[in-house]
Amino acid sequence: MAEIPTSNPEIDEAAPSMLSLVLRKMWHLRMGVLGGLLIFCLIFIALFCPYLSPHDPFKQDITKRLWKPAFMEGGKAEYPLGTDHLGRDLLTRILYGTRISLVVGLAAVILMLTVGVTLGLVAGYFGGKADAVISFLVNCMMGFPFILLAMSLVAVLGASLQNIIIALGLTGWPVFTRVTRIETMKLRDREFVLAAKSLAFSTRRILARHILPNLLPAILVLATVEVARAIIRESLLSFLGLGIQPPTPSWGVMLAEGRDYMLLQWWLAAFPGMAIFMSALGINLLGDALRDLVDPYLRKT
Amino acid sequence: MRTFIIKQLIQAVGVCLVISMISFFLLFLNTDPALLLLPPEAEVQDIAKFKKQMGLDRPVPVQYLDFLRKVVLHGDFGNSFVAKVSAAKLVRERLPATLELALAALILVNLVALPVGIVSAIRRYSLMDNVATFTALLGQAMPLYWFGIMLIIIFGVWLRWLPISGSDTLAHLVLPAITLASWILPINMRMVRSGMLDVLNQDYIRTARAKGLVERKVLIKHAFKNAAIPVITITGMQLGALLGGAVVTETVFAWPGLGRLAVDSIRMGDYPVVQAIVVVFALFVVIGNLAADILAALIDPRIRLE
Amino acid sequence: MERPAPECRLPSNSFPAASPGDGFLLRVQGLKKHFPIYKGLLGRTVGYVYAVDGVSFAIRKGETLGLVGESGCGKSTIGRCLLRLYEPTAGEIFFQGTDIGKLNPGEMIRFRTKMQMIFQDPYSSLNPRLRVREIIGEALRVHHLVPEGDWTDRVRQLLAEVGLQPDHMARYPHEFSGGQRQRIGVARSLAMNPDLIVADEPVSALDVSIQAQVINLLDSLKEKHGLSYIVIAHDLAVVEHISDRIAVMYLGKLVETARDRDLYLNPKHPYTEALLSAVPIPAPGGRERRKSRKLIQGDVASPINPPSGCRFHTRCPKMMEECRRIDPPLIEIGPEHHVACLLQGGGRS
Repeated sequence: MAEIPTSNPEIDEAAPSMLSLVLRKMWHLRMGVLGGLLIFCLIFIALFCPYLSPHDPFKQDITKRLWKPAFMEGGKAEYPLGTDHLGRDLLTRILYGTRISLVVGLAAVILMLTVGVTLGLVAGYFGGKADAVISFLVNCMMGFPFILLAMSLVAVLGASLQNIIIALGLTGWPVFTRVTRIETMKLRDREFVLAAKSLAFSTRRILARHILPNLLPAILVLATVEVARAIIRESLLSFLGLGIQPPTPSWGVMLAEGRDYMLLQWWLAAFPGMAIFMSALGINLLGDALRDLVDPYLRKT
Repeated sequence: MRTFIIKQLIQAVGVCLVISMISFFLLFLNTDPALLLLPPEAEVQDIAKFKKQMGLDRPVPVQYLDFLRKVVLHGDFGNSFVAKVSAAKLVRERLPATLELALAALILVNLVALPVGIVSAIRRYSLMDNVATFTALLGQAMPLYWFGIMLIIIFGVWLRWLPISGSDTLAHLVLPAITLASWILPINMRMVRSGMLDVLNQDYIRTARAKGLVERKVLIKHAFKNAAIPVITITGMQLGALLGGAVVTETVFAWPGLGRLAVDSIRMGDYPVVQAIVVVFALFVVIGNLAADILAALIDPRIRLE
Repeated sequence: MERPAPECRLPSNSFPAASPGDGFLLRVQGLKKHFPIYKGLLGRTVGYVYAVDGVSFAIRKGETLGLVGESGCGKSTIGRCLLRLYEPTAGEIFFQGTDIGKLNPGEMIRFRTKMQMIFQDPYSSLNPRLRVREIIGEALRVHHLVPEGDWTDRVRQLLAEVGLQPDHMARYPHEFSGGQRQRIGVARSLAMNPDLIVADEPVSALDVSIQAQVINLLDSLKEKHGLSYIVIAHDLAVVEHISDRIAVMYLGKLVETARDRDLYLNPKHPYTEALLSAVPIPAPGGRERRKSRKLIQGDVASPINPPSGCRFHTRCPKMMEECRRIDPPLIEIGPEHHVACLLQGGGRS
């Protein structure tokens, strides 16, 4: 959503000067860098959490349950964020939760990409009946609250890591189809596609080498944002009990467990949620910055 | 114009049909429905007899048509497996609570999004605009239920200002409504802002051509009028998200609405109720989108030609 | 392939009226392209855009035909029909004796290598994500025109032919100027060693100073490779230098065709006269012509609802009463000079 600056002095008291535009761009980039850093931390933690965590995420110890975080009065330093109702260290579980979130997020988006982009290409390039059917499907699915669909799918398939990825992937593809379709339709009339046709290239080749690579910027931006959404949705499903099951340390599960204790042991809910929030924020920031970078490029070509 | 509406209507009906089909077939994906209804010790021949009795031995498409007939003509979804009352009745009982919550959230959202969006557009890149954009960014990354829980912790437990579950008084409505509103707020704010920007750009050109100054008041009045339109259309489109958010919010706040019923029913495998809720949700979403589309086309004729 | 409309065979006012396989590289007969207009709930066809409505012409090997007309007269559509990027609604296209309008995609491939196109917009005619060497060389590799290891050499060769450096191979299109991009487009079309190149407004998007360079490039390549050209343009000045013959189009039909000098010295159709009088570049007889600058009245008529009779009659300064009713066919009034105008004595039927 890039805007063309206007400068109507009567309306626009904060008339954007060149400087402010540049600052805004830098601000966006800085936010993008921040997002990138956050994501880097996420990946780092996911890879190395066994070495970073003070304890075992599964080890229960009833004698140590519901201890306060270290920075509160009565807390112990060896449990920096306290313990949960089964005596497990919260910090450790949060760190391990990174793995679940990243794995689920990435895998779900890959599934969404595969299904969504393929359908979008078919609908956009071939038009006609295929397009009508696919567009109809997309409309069906897009307005519908994902939750019900995903919940039902999980309930039917059973709650496991795989099934969550499948449920998320199968409910999230429409937005990819929609974007791919529009971009494909714009591209198929471009002269270099006509040139490829006049050079007697096969349709498969045209789609793969000429259309798809030019879709990548838009899809990439979308995929980034969708990873964040997938992470939030996974934790939502787990929170509702229809996702990852305990004792696996998913942030959503921890939130659900924490909810029972939120009156007194608020940290059990607050910190896992903060982790989800920071992850999603980082990814969104990166996605926004990517979009800013990609937009002028798209327009230039 | 008429063809446009008819096209949209047909599509809407089609969507409802497809969704009803999906929700119906869900039942058969997992288990044999007969097994769900009978006690676990039932003998094989009892099961067969039961199936025959209930018409569960017919081919699935036939059962679907029967289901469709019952739903469309009588609004009958069968009885809940759990509560032994009509599923439709359960849904009817819980619907008002959800509607109440949704309405409250919508009012809140518009109370905030409209002025903020408009001011953001008028004074672009000002502090207000940047703060609003930043808040929208945060809002989009915020997990809804975490927000709700934090609200509960802060306002319900630490400050003890507001009650945190149940739905007896208006005060009970506050936190859930705020939570649900936050789900929709970022997008609404952005849409109002960009809608206003479109309008302002047009007005600006007209203004530039006209001689003399234009009163800011007049512009703002005009702006309000034009901002209302994208708001209505977005609201229609956001119904799906609103309902989805309601599911979560109701669970967090123990609000006795459809959302919570949905979660419980799915967890317990109470398929008739799930089917009923899915269809009801779908109806709302489809009608909302339809209304939004028609309204948008009324205002912007270009859409009709698409 | 769309089935031709029933009345597809025009009376033979095409030129020259000989049978296929008589030495012409390309012969187009009665070419029509109508685009349907859809409306309503069920997508009913409520009308057509008569983009090309009965066009016939021929080219010999080694010849350059300039196809000229206003925007929207259908000239680009003809170009694309020739390459079957659009399917003709009616008519035949004989290339080296074969009617390529009726071939299936498999058979078409053989002919595609012989007919190539240069496109108008240098900013969208090259795939921005491919390097120049891939853009030019892709056809070579896909169709195995060159042994596998040699294709980069061939690309280098082609680049040199169009006046670019070999190290340009590794760059991306956005690193080049408009004129250079057109050269890359030319190189791409040469890769297949075609017999005919259709240049669709090859210089319309370029600065005037660059236009001449590209046109000269095309001219110099013609001799060397034994090419034939169809150069489509809206500006007579562009085609004047390079064309052997020129065909003038208006609203989907040809109004005059002649040899280059004949057209300039002896234009017969009022539309041609008006076009010529707008040419700023000194042409034979230019000074006198500029004194009598003929302006065309009115706007272009619509190809959806063309005027009755002679299509130009609504804007013609020499319009007669019959022009409203009779649509003049293209008749020969001199050596290789055809005009469609009642003033020249076309069809009192």
